[in-house]
Amino acid sequence: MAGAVLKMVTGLVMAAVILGPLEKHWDLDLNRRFQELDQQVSAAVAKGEEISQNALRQRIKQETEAYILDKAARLGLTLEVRVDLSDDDLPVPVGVTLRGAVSPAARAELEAMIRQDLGIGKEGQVWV
Amino acid sequence: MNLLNTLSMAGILPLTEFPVPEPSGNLWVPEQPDSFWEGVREIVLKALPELQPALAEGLWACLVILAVVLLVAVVRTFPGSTEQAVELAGAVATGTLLLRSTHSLVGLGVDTVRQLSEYGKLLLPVMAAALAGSGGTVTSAALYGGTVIFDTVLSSLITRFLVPMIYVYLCLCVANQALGEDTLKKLADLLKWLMTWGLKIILYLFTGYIGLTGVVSGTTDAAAMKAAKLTVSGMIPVVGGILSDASEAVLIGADAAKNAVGIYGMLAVLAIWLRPFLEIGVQYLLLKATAAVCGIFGTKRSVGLVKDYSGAMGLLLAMTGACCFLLLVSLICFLKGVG
Amino acid sequence: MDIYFKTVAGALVAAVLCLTLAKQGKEFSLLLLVLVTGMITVLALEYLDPVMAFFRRLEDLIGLDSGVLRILLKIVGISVVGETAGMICADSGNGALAKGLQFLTGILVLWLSLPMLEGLLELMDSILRELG
Repeated sequence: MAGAVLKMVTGLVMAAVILGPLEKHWDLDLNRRFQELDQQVSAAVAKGEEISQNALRQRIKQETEAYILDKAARLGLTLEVRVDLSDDDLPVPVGVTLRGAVSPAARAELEAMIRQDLGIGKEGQVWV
Repeated sequence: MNLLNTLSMAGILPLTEFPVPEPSGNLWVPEQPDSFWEGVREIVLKALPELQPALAEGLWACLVILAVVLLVAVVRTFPGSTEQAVELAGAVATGTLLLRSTHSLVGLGVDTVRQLSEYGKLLLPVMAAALAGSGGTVTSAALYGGTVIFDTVLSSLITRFLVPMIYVYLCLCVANQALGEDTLKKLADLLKWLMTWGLKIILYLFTGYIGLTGVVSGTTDAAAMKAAKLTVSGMIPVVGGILSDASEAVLIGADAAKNAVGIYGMLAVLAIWLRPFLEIGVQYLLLKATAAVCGIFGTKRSVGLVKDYSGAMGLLLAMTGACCFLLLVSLICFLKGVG
Repeated sequence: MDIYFKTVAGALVAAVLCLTLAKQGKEFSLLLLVLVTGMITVLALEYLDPVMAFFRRLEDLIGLDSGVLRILLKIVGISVVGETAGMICADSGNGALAKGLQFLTGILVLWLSLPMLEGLLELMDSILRELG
């Protein structure tokens, strides 16, 4: 009986000595951590979308300008073109600024093409 | 990087927009891999020669342990020798010898877990941005957020709880050999079971989360992309054609950038993880072999202690492997992208 | 090996002689018993030399403090001597003396084990210190 009691007491003391150092207060502060994570995730996703959107806008602008220049070249015109895009998620051309010497006939033809093919009305076309 | 140059679509989406983080102080990441497998091969070829000193040291330590177990076994056969005193001496000698190598390997394991976690913190935002840029907004947020949560939980659990538990486990094993108390052995086994299952549960939960995310958010992103295509198809043909071409080119470019960063990231994760894993693995295998050899002539308790130390090395392997697995699976999911 | 068989034969002869001498006087048989046991023990010690040399080789290989092995061998020696002396006392009808010797031997073994127990505590302390 005494032996069993002694064994149990010794075991408990040993367990306390071994497990004692593990008792640490874990400061979790989950709210703050989740908020920080939320901000990091939003920032990363927003950055990716921004990069993609900028590249898309640049590409659409380049291709639209190339299209107009190609059409102008077929009419024998040498122009400088700058296309303006809308601010939508899927940006569409809404305005164009054209610079160069153009005959009235050629200008009319080009304006009609821009209106028909690109959907940019007369008010969106600026000739300099 | 050959790999990046092959994959990148010049002029559509410059790779500088998604800067690839390099693991600090790690010279093992391949500089110019032609493919992923070429990169892995390079890392493995760099790792193997580095193992020789660890192997030599481990072999010597195992030889010494064999000598201790043999000594204990021979003294035990003496008439009149007391089992208790002999096992006590064996426990002190074996424990002291093994503690030196164990401590340095545990430190190596903890260091590897920290490095992987820190590298993940650098790499994941870039991957998330790249995936968001290629149309996977919802998937990107879910993957990034989930991976960070699980990685933080896992690395905190390992460094704050599991590693101290390994030391407690070793303590119990040494005490068990010295005193021969079954209760101590049961406690040690319980601890080992707890540690193993703790790791397994986190990995099961993570795998479940990844699977669910792939289905739910992947469907959402795919639907969003389909809606965008429908919008484009309803436009004036020329404008619609330009928008469609531009969107596709940007998506391909972002996808290529994401793949390039992802593959480099995976190689970097392997470069951080492989050598420590092999070093600990070598020690684990050597101790297992030593326990098997000692089993021929050693006492049950002294052989048991060597097995317990190899078990501790096995736990360490599991911990570092779990961290690496988590990051790699996450990166693969990022690479898989939408759908 | 023939020394061993001769020793066994001698021990059997001594056992028979003890029975005969016991009729004359128990003290004579006890003296003979102690003498023959002592001679057998001394003979056994001669064969320990190569074993001790092997132990020293193992010690050098292990590279640990040689005190542990010395303590172990002392414990073994004390256990053998104590057990043998106790059995002689028991054979001579002194059960209480035998028990007393057994008790003393146990206490002495425990006393000799103290450095190893301290070593064990130090080892556990150094392991647990890693917990920080």
